Amino acid sequence: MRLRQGVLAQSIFFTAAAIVAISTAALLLFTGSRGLAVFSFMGPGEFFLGTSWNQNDQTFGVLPLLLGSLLTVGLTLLISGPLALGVAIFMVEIAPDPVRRVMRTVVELFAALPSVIYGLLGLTLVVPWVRVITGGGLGKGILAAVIVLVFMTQPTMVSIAEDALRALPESLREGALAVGATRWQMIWRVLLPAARPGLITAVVLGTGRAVGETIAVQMVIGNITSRLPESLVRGATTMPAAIVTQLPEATSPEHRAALIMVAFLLLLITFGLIAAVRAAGAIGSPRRPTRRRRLTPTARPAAAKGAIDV
Amino acid sequence: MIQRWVYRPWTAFALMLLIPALVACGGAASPHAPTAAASLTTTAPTSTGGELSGQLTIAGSSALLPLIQEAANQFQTKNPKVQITVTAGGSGAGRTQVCEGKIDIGNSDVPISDAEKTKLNCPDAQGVAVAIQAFDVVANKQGPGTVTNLTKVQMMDIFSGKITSWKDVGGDDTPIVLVNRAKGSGTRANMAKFLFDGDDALFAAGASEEDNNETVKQTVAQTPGAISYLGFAYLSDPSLLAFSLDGVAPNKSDIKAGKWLIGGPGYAITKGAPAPLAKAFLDFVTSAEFQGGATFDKLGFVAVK
Repeated sequence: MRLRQGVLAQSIFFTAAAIVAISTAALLLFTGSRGLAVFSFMGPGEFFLGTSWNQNDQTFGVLPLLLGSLLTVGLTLLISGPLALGVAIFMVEIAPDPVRRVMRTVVELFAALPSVIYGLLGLTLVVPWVRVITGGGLGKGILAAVIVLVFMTQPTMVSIAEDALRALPESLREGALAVGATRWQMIWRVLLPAARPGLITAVVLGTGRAVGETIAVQMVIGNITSRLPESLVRGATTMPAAIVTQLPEATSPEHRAALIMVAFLLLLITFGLIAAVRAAGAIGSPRRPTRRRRLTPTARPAAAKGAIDV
Repeated sequence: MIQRWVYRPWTAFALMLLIPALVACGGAASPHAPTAAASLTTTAPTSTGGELSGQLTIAGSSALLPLIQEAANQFQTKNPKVQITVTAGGSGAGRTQVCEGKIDIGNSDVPISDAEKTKLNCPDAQGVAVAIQAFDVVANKQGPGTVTNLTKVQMMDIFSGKITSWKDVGGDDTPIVLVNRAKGSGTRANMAKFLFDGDDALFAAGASEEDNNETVKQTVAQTPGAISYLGFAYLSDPSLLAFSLDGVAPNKSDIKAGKWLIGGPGYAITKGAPAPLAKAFLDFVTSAEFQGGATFDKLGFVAVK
């Protein structure tokens, strides 16, 4: 009986894992093979170094899209990361309980908003505001997209960072305070390093949302693919926004292949980003492997012994 | 209890059983057969005693969507055994997918060109005009001042970027902010046809591009000096200023009489001659009964006949 249950359980889990692995591979293979077809129409130099993406003259240079994405996501992270960290620390270490509960509800509410609502709010509130402070034009551009994305990435980052900080054992705080650390020193020197893997996860998932966000960005960025981004308040585009704007109207095979190649690049960038941030986390704290070691019954006493001096 | 996964031969065996089973399920659930031939056989109606049944898949122009959706609803009420799926996706997608055999009917704001027929390997594509669509230039109320009429030349100069201030057409001293639909959009193609004889490259570079009418409407309504173009159904919006063209205001009777020059017929495109069910549906869409109905009028389209 137990053996049979074991067979069933193992088959289910194994199959679930296999489906995830196979579908990821299939996704890469599909977008890769369809996307790389673009190089039968144009050279890699033309695609990767071209500064104009204009389907009217069939030029598909990816730089306007790539730079737009990099600028947007980079600026978003610069603002959103520290902000989320501050909010999380405030919620865990400083805010009194009722305040914390209200904030938690607000964060959850923000997380539940569909992205088209963010887009609409961006279009009706942020874009006119950007237009007024920059004095004219349309107000659509990277700045408007960054503002929208900061709000969109906050809930993900804050809630994961908060959980990471909250999960720290009370003994860390008590120990730090007992040796005479101030509250600031305790947070900065003890809690943040200890919560590092969780905080890195928060940033990775927030970045993931910013990189992939499509509709909300598309509504406020202006979708100009024919030239490189000129300034933060002039129209630009990002890779997902360009795909969603152009794919429905892409009739030529060159155009479709180029757009799918952009999707493939987007996949690679996402994978690369996750790998890079993980590597950064591992270098910073060699004694805290981000990957959980699998314990086997024989290895267990050793692991337990090792855990004492952490 | 801590014991983790240990390889046993039957694990691989179970895997070999489960994965093909799942693949089979996935395969059976796939809605569209990949080839045109297979698609046609699955959607061919089985006519029993004059009653129509079967499935139709329609996609394409978002401007035509409300009309086709309404026609599909009425058609399905009359023929309860017929199932019609209508989605948007853009005129370009309508033309492409119908040629790839993914859908039965593709809607497009512009006819399928000979170049496209060759490119999409679809020489026998057929289009039926289903409604006349009209488009007009719209602007934010701040900027044009007292100007409510533009000449064709003024419109050309504005959208090609030659005129950059409302002052130059008799309005206030406000810069003109251009808002475009995305390249390939049917609405944009109709504007290009009217303004630039279809040469899309003459639209000024660097103007923002939006992929749907709602965003265009919202953007123009909130930006002083903004100008764009929209379908007839959107012109009554009180936050927008719809221009007369050379003294002709966009209204139904003028559009019907052919006096309004921006726009043209929207098409339903099939690969080859339409299959019996698709033909029955298209006959209904173009029938006097549907085109003369109250809903058709309310949606802002003008009958083709």
